[in-house]
Amino acid sequence: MAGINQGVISNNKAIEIYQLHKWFRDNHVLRGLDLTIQAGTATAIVGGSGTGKSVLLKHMVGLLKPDAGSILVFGQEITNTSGRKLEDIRRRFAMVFQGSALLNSLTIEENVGLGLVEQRRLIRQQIEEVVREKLTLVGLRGKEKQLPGELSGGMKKRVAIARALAMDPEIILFDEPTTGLDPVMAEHIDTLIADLKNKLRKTAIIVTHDMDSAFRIADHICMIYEGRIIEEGTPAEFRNSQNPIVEQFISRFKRQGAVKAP
Amino acid sequence: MGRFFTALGEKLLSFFQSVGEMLQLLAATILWCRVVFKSLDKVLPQMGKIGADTLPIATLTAVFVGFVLALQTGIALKQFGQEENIGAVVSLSMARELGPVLTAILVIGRIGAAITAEIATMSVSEEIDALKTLGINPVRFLVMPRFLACITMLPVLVIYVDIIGMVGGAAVSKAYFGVPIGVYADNVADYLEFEDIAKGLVKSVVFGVIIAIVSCHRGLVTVGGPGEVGQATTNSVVFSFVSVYVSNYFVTRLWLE
Repeated sequence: MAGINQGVISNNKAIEIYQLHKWFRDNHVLRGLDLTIQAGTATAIVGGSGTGKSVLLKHMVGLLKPDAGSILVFGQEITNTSGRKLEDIRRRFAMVFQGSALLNSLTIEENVGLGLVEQRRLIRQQIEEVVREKLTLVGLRGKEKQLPGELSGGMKKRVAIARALAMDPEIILFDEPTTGLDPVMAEHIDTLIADLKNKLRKTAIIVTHDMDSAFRIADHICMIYEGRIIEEGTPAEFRNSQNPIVEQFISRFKRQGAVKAP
Repeated sequence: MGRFFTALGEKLLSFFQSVGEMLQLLAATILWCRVVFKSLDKVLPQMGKIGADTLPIATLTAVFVGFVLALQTGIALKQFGQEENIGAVVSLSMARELGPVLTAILVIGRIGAAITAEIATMSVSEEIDALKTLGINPVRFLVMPRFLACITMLPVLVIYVDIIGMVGGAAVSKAYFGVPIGVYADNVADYLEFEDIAKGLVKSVVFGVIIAIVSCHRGLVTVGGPGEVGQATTNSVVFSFVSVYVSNYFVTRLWLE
């Protein structure tokens, strides 16, 4: 890539990934994956279980280091950064984990405010204000003093989203946000994610195997298979894909009765 | 045969890798101790937890170890008519060896196992990753408070265990061998020196470092599910025990040279 062009091109690109490889012992999970995520869009990364979707997500925030390849976040290479510099880059991200990953010993409000409290930039009143605002946004006002163990799976997911939003990130990563939720709750979470992008202009990256959810919220859908992106496009393009693997994935999802006929 | 050596080699490699990682963790933890005063809200509850969880069992253990020490030495010393020296044997054994080692074993069982189980559960449920994405360093947030709590509370517990053990010894001396409490106490005062207690305390700090670092490390490296959490906890306890016994020998030898 020409050095001069890079800055210009990177302007509206949130994340660029080139030839990413990752092995876990003998298991070659990511096999030369290329992907570009535009800023301000919602991108869904779909694929079967064990295809490396979550692994890819963890590479984007630097939780995993690739064995080869490069990852640029807003034009900045992150694969060989660590310490303070990596923390600065991570500050632009927030991640909503598959199992919500709330700290069980802390109350809901402490969980949501955790990042801000530890940053020590805001005073207590300001943090409380942010926590209240984010909990209202996810429809969980009044649950502040409860512990994660007292909430349902869907509520925990919403707390995790509130915790992510409290850090005011530019990019939010969602790891299987609707997995294990009933259809009503899944739709509710989807609406929430769509709102983040539409109203708050955040970049959202959603890893999911729920095609229903992907079609509902994404501007762009990428399918990962055997460690590479084998198809990408708008939901309409994706639906009409001629790629047999993509067709099979969508039709199998429909057969399970999880998708309403478009 | 070849397979045996492959397996042995893998075990050795993973052992040395663990030790290397633990030393790195220790270095990182010591560096983070610079923010101790900003983290007192995390350190003090950990200290309280160690005290509250360990005191009842420490009392029970120490008093019975004191009993049996006095009983065994009393029987032996009685043959030479030296019962008044029970105090010296009990107090020196407690202060130099039994106090620190027993306390370490109790803390490994009560606290070390709990630390590993807690942190391992956090690892497998992605809470550690969540902390990182929130810009929170897990070593500062989880390891450093537990480390400081262990190295400060172990010496405190050792002093307590020493005293209770000696009191237990006094009770048996009086009850079985008719040694007056005053004679026992004088005998302790004659033989037990500050140096003996101090050496025991230094040992306990070393044990505290080992317990905290081993327990936290085993928790942080756990991947998988609930089964692995149990496995990690067992590993952590065994590793801590062995490390405490081995380091106890070397620290004791260091002083003899």
